[in-house]
Amino acid sequence: MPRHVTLVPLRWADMDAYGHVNNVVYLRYLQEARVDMLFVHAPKQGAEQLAEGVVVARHEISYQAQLRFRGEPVRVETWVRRVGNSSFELGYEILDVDDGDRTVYAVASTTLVPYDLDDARPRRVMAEERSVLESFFEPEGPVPGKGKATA
Amino acid sequence: MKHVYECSVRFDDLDAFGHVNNVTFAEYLQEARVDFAHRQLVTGNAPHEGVVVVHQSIDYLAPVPFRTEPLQVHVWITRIGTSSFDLAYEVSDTSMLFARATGVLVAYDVKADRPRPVSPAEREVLERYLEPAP
Repeated sequence: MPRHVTLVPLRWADMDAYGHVNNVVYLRYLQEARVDMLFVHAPKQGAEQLAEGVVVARHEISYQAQLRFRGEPVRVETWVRRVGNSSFELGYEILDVDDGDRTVYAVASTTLVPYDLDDARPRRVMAEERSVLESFFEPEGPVPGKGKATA
Repeated sequence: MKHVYECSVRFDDLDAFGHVNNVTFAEYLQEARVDFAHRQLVTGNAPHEGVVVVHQSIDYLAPVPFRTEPLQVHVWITRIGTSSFDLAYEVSDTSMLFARATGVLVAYDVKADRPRPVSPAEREVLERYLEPAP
C-alpha cells in the first residue's frame, strides 16, 4: 500500500538553543502530515467526518537524528497501522530521501479516536473512513524503538 | 520525590476543537522538564553539558478546555543509566488526570555533538527524584 507523503517546510525558529529542531516541533510536523492526510486528502476520498472531530489518544516517538534548519522541506511519510471499531493507529517516518538513500530523523505512531465534539464522546469508525484508511494500510511498518539506551 | 511545575494554559494553546492541542501537551512536559533541570539538575554544569530527548510517549486521558487555574505537571525519574535516564510525567489538577507520559533523555555534550556520561552530581540529584513508574 502507498504511504501518504507530506513535505513540511522548516522554520528557522523551529530550532532551540541547541541549534537543532526542538523535540516538540517534531510532533508539530507529524500533526501537519496527519491533518494533510485526514482533513485534506481523506474528505476528497469520501471520508468527510474526520475533519469534524478526531482526537489524539496516544503518541509515541523515537528521535533518531537531529534536524537543522534548511530551505528544503522535510518529508513525512504516514501510513495506517491498525483500524479498530472506534480508534485507528497511524505510523510515521520523518525523513529525507536522497537518490534512494533514506535518512530517518524520527519514527512515531499515534492512536486516534473519532470524536463527536457536540456530545463530547467517541464514535465508531464509519465504513467510508475505514475504506480510505485501509488504502494506506501497512501493519508491518517501522515502529518507534523502546528508546531504552543500552548505556 | 516528584518535581511539581505549575503550568498556565494560554488561550492560543487551544485548537479549533476547543481544547488544548496534543502538541501543546508536549510543550507543557518540556516546560516542566526544563524547570526541573534548571532548578535542580544542571546548576553545576557547563553550558555545553546538556540533555536531549530520544524517546517520548504521551497518553491523553481527558481534554483540557480553556482555564485560568494552572495545571500541575509532576515530573520524576524512573531509571538512571550510564548516559541516559527515564522520566515519567503526569498532567493534572486537584480533581483530574489529563495525561501521562514517559521520556528517555540522553546526557549530551552539545559542543562535541555526542552523548556523555551522567555526572556524579547529576546522578545524586536524579536519585532523589527516583520513584516507581506509574
